[in-house]
Amino acid sequence: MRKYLIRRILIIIPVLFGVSIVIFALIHLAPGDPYSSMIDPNFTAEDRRNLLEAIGYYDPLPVKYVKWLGRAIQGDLGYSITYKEPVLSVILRNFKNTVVLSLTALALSVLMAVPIGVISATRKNTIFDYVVTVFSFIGISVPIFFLAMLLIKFLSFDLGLFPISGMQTIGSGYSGFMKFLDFVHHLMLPVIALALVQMAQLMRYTRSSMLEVIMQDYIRTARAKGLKERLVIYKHALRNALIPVVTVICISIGYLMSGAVLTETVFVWPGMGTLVYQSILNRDYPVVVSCALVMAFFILIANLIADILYAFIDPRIKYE
Amino acid sequence: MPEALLEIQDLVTSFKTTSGLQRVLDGINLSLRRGEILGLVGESGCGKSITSLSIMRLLPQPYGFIENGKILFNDKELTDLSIPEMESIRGNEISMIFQEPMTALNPVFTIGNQIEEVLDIHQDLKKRDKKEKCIEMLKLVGLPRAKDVYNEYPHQLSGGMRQRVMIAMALSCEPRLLIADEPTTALDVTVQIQILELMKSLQKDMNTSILLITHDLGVIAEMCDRVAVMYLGKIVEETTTVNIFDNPLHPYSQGLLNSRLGNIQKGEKLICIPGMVPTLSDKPQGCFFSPRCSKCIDRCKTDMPELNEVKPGHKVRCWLYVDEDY
Amino acid sequence: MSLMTVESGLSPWKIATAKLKRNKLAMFGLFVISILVALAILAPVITPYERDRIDMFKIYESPTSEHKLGMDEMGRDVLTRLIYGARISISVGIVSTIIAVVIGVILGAVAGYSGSIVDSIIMRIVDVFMCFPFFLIAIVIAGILGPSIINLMLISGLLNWPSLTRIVRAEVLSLKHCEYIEAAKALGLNARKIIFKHIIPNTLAPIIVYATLGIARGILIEAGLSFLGLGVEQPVPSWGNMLSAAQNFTTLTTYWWVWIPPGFMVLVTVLSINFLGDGLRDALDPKIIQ
Repeated sequence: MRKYLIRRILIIIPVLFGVSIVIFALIHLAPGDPYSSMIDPNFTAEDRRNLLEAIGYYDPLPVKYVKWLGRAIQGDLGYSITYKEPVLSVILRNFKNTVVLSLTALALSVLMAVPIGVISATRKNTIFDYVVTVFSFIGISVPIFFLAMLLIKFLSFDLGLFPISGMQTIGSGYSGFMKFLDFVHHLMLPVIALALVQMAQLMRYTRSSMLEVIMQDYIRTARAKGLKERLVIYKHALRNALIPVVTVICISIGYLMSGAVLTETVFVWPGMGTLVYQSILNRDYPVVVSCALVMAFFILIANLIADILYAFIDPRIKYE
Repeated sequence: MPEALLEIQDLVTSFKTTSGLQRVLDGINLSLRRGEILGLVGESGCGKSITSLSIMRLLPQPYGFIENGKILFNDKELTDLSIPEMESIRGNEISMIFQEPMTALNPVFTIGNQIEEVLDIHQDLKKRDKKEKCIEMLKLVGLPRAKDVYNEYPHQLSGGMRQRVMIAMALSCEPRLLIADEPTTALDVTVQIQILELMKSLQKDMNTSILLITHDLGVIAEMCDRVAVMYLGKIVEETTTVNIFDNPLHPYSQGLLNSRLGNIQKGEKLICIPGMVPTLSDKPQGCFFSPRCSKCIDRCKTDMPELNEVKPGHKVRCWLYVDEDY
Repeated sequence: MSLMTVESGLSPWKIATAKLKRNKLAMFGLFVISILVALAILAPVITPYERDRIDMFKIYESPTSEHKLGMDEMGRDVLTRLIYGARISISVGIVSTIIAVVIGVILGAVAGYSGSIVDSIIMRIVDVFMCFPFFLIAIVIAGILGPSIINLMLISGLLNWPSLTRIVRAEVLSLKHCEYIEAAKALGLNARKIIFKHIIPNTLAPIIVYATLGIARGILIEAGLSFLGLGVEQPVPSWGNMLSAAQNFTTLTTYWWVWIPPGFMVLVTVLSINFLGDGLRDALDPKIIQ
């Protein structure tokens, strides 16, 4: 087990190195002078020149990379042109909102998708299964922003069930619990949009994982013991079917955040996605590139957690 | 003669396939006495495993189903039982061991957990007693360090040990009937003999009947009191083990015996039954074995013979022994 | 229990075709895709109006018998632009998939066949690509490169190869020690010949499936990037940039005929391709018998 984990963690290092090179390349590919954005714009011209020298403006490329990497590791990702403050603090502010949105959506989709996927697998080729299958096909095929816009038009605008955009009612002056309720009300529609799409994926995955497990010999053994069908499915089969599903859930955290980019844009939800989009429109490349870096880092961590969790829930790995 | 524990009458089991219904079992008649070991032999695909799954009512769903016939077990008609009634018989009065010990145990539960589960379903034991009984069973099947095995996962055990665990699990409720579907096929030769001997000695102690499914005539010679030979969903011969080895009547049984490697001297050619087993969708007219039979007569090509008792305790399905004093 | 040996004796491709024909969803998908491709090719013939013709008096006109899907924000016929949009969306899907398949297959085959250092370098590059949130990085690159159809195809293609590389590599690894490959080596064929003549044809099934689904992914990326104004630019119509009209709130809430049809087209196209791709996966997998 320990060996497995160490190997997993060691494999991250070259990947992180690769990610940093890609990001560094993007910084230099982006239009404009990347170095002007790396220092506090409020300094005097004299100070700026000294600082430029310190951060490696005049150095050859490899040295530039090393110096940039050193600063990035310490959390110094430069300055935002639009917000006139350090990129990291801008990102962290928005990151929080994205995490709330995507984790809520993930929780909702897991709670719905796993039971439905299991039932669908145990009733293969019934009407229920066909409906679930077609629904999940639609879920993986619909552009998420289109779904989001349909929800806004029909549920928010035509029926008035939900607020149209944002995170709180502007000028409402709510406080305390009311403020929280207002927040939840705003959160619901983007969560529904994200969760529906995520659910479709997970349902398909749970269903096929379950179908594969049901064919296994040990399921027949469980039945031959005289176990009730309900226990055969929900104890023996599900426990095994969930092993790959848990991994997929972890990995999907990263992709959920990526899907949140478009959803956030449509709902004007002040998260990473909206930040990236706004920053591209404002040509604020330091923010754009740093967002990619932060998200890549986050996905890497999520994948690592998936591997660790896998080792914990599958007894076969522990003793290798 | 002790009465029959299991009596199968005219059992027909079919599968729904893309090309229509296929009869996998075509009127099986079989009886198993109390305390007896009955061997069921035949080439792969002849319906041996489907017979056992039919008895257990565990045919692969939704394709397989019992079309016709009766399965009388201990005076109960198994095909009429409700699902809960059947569940209370499985693992309790009828147990089963499968061919693949490597995959027959659930990889994510401990051995103890999986054996105790059977006790949970069929017996009302306190937690303490359950564990004791479980370790006792593990010792009974000859597992060293039974207490450690109790907490281990299947993948930590070898194939032979897993099959012992399967036997412990199957026998933990002292079943009247144990169905063993090729229990040693997947094991090393040395381990095979150990497992067979274990089964035989436990069978004597518990007075359990065994339906032993195998394609290995050596296993039959070692274990069984009586033998039924199957070919393409039908029983073609049923008699004592001594009879089948000394005086096999059906040409198919004769062929099976002749093709054993033990009979062949060095330098001789291997003997085999000519032709291939026909597919289920393509059963021959008349006797199913006729196209491969060296003693085939005209009648074989048109009519299927009945399973007749040609001598006391010796039934055979062949025209050669009808209306004839052989 | 090998009960389902009914189709034995046929070649693998014939079995696959037979299986595919039995799959209703896949056949439905194929049918819809054929119609869409025909529409795209025949666009100039069948569209009722010229692609960019502007009627200033009919801006945001709702659907009428003359303009079946109404008029857009510049007074152009929505139905006409929708049909022309199929050309762009489908070709972006196809071209980007070709790029991804070429890169993915070559790198995967090389990684799997050569092993050792080359393999680990390629696989680490794959890992690096896989840990970027796909759409986010697409936006970043599109933002840097600027919007254009070519950039769109390149971005989609260059980001879509890593998972195919993994698939091909795994297939090659499992094939590498097969006897007929050993035989080819023993006959003295060189590595390149072995890869192209013997290994790649045998990994064709997963590649076909991946490529089919890749087209769907390409169409979704086109829609997403063009929606954000980072893909296909006006006046050339694509489903994505038609959808971007809904960035305007009044259009979103009131002039639904401007944006719902292109969104629906993306959904139907991607859905059909997914149906077909899934059917192909089942048909080409010899392990699935049903």
